[in-house]
Amino acid sequence: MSPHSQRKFVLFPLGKKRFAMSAEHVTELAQPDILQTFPHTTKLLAGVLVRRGRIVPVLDIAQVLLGPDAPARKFYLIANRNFGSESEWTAVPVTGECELLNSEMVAPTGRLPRYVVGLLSLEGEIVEVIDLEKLANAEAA
Amino acid sequence: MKLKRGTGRAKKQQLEDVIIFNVADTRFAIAANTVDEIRNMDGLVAHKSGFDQRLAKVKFTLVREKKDRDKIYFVVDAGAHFRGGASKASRVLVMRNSSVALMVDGIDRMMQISAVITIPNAFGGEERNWYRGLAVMDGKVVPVINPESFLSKGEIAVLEAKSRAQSASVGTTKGAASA
Repeated sequence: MSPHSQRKFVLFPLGKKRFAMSAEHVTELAQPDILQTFPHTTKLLAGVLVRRGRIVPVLDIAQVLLGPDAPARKFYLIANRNFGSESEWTAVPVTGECELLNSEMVAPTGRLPRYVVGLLSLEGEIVEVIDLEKLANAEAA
Repeated sequence: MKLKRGTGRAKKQQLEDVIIFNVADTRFAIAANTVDEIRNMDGLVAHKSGFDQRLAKVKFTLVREKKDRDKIYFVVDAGAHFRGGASKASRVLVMRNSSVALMVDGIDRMMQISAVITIPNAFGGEERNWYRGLAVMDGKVVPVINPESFLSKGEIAVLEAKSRAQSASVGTTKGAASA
């Protein structure tokens, strides 16, 4: 495997599975925080966090990746999402600590959802690489 | 050497008076200058929206006999508008320069806020119309209501036409009975 073809990914657990996201989109891993809610109609948004003076929407992707029985989420992965020319923080609840790693991504095979943009092969485990934007847009549609 | 007057002086913070109210478990804020009166539930007349589900949130009508007795206010149940949990309405906020009143669980307090933060772009649903933005009060996020979101001009026109038609039919019935 050529080191040039390797990219950085953040590996995050959701229940018994692990998923990955391109590290360039990830800002930080945050400790548990108080989730605040108010009425809205946007799918997957669980509420907001107040973090460093910013209001950060919480996008609960576990509902899509694992279904309604996903275990309790403990930490928040803070990622950047682009909306036109603006970029905005989004918190993704995860169930455990995350890991930064270099790996080579291969193209997704078979009938995987469009938000799975690649696969990582990690010591016998195949990890799906998620595109947050595509996942959120697919749900909104 | 010319001395320039300091231009980097901090702007005086613009404060806005807001009324904080509760609906189910949520606190909301609304600009105080958009509210004409806060009243109890006296004088409300039950309203049936018929088959139009969009207007099912209009639960009552209100005529303020002492103030503007020719005007009908359409009272929107805030719990139904925000599709929240069951609410126990006890107060009515009558909107200024509008035919809309809002039924809420209770008034928390009146306070001043220094900033209304734009709602994050991740929120893409009806809430973009419901709220002018968000305010942070003692670390808590409170949606700041857009008072024009409760009923559109078209919906108010439909309700007014229906109300006029009902009054006319009552008048006709009364006229026929007296003849």
